[in-house]
Amino acid sequence: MNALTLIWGALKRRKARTVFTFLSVVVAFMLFCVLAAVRQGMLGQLKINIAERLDTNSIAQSLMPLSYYAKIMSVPGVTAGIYFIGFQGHYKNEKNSLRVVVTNAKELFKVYQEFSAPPAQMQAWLSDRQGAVAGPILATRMGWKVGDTIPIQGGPAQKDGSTTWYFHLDGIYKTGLPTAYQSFFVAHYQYYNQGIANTNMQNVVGQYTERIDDPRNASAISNAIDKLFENSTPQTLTQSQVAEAISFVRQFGNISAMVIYVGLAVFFSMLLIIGNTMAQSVRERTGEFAMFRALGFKRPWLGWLVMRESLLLIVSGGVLGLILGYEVTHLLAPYVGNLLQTFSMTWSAAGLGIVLSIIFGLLAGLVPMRRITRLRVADALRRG
Amino acid sequence: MSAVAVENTRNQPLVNLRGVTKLYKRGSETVEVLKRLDLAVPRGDFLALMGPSGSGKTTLMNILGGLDRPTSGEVIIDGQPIHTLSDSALSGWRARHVGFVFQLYHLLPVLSAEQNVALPLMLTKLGGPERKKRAMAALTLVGLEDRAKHKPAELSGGQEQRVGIARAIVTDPTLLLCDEPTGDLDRKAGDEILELLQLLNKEHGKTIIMVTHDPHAAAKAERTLFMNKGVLGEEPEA
Repeated sequence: MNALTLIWGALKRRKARTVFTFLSVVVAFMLFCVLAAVRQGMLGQLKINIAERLDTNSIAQSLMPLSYYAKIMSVPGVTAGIYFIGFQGHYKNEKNSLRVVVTNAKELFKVYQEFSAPPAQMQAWLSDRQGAVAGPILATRMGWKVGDTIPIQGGPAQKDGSTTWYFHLDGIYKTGLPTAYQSFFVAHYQYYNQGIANTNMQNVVGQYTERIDDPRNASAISNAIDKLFENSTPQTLTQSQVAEAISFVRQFGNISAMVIYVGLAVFFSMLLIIGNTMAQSVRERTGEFAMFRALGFKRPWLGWLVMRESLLLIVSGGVLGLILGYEVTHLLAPYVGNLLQTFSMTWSAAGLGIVLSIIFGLLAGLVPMRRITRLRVADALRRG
Repeated sequence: MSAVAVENTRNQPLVNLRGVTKLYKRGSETVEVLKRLDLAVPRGDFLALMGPSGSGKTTLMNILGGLDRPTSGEVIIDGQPIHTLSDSALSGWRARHVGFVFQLYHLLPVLSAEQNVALPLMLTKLGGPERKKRAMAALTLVGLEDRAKHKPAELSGGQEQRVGIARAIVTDPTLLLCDEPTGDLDRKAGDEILELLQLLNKEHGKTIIMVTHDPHAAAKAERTLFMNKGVLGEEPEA
């Protein structure tokens, strides 16, 4: 028998209360995870979007002709460029929905250097008109492996009337970027462009993305690209991805901050309730602590016993909450990924969570610890 | 310590109180709970302390057990002036020299009888097997070796108090302080507890001071002192 036996015994004393308190801690830290992921979703984009990449969109938010591409690539300072468009479809059933992005594959990993695929898979993709690459999370979710033929249903009608598009999975790319970036499905623009029945949708793209030689020239290059199409329809707006991210944060930052503040208020309220429960639990055992003192246990030892009980409950609940919260953010990521592409739980947030759980464990244990270390043994024994 | 010094210590009373006064503040009023008390309890004595509620019996027990301090006077137990000890030193002293038996037992409900008895041994350097051995020996002494794995809720009141006594004697203390040990028991269970205390006193040489309201319980002690309004006497106040 040791101190842990006593702590465990104390926690088992009122099982329902301990379970509910523990669950409150778990839920509080799950909430913390989601909030941390929202914050990461807001601010993470700033880190991922780099100044060397520019996005060119239609000012009218319409599609742009494919013919813009050659002109864009002729602008000095543009070292690589991709064009892309996408459609929504599903695999086998509508629950497995995904977005198919079609692009000029050769340039893709030059523009997005954070992505890579094994050379053999890359070579197979580039030489396969129906080829595609998928992110690792998407491939795992769908149960795909390299070499599979993947029918994507519910796409735009093809010339033969079918809305099912067949792709060969030639590769699974790798990236260290957050979840949302690991769930792309990328195929060849040419295959799509030649197959689509709607002639209005042929030879048009949704966006251009360029890589430039020097981020200091981003503004000048952006202006040069937009100048090319100032007399065209549609006109374009080119800006660096960093500028886009800042604009995004400005647009949604207040809403996000509000969500985070409300969430934090709930988080702290729950922890206050937990602290109060801890204090009540110790108050009920005043007679026992007096008995411990009578037996010769010293004040600091008993205080530390109470503190360890608080720490055990809150830190273990916190760690479980963080683990479950991590899973929850994974589950939520596909649903919020369009808005918050960097929505994810980071290691630094997990570390902060653990530190917070220790701090809250100490704070929740402080009041009962003070009570026990200042206990008047004779009075407490009489009260029982 | 020389042989003569050891003999001198043996001849001294185990408990020696000199001029002990205890004052309490109740609001603006100061209450004198113990009034310049003198008390000598020889080693091996079984002393019952009787008196009406509020007469100062429990206060005296708390001072004897180092749970409270006198406002003035000296408390010398086994040659040690405990009124001079720091809080921490007093805790250590209690662990080594005093066994408490409480009216409400104060057993931990989540621990077995054996674990409850072994609690004070957590303060020693004994290993797990030795602690278990000693706890079982104490339980055997109180006749509960077959209830070692039972939780307090699975025991009768009398058995719970026996566990409480086993816990009090497991460290082989010099002095046993019993505060109304039969106060929460029926007559039969109470008698069993008193017989057990007598056994500990007579067979094992334990010095016992017992606070009680019950003349029947006090009759089991070797002698009885009466406390009234903070003063000790040989006879109850008329």
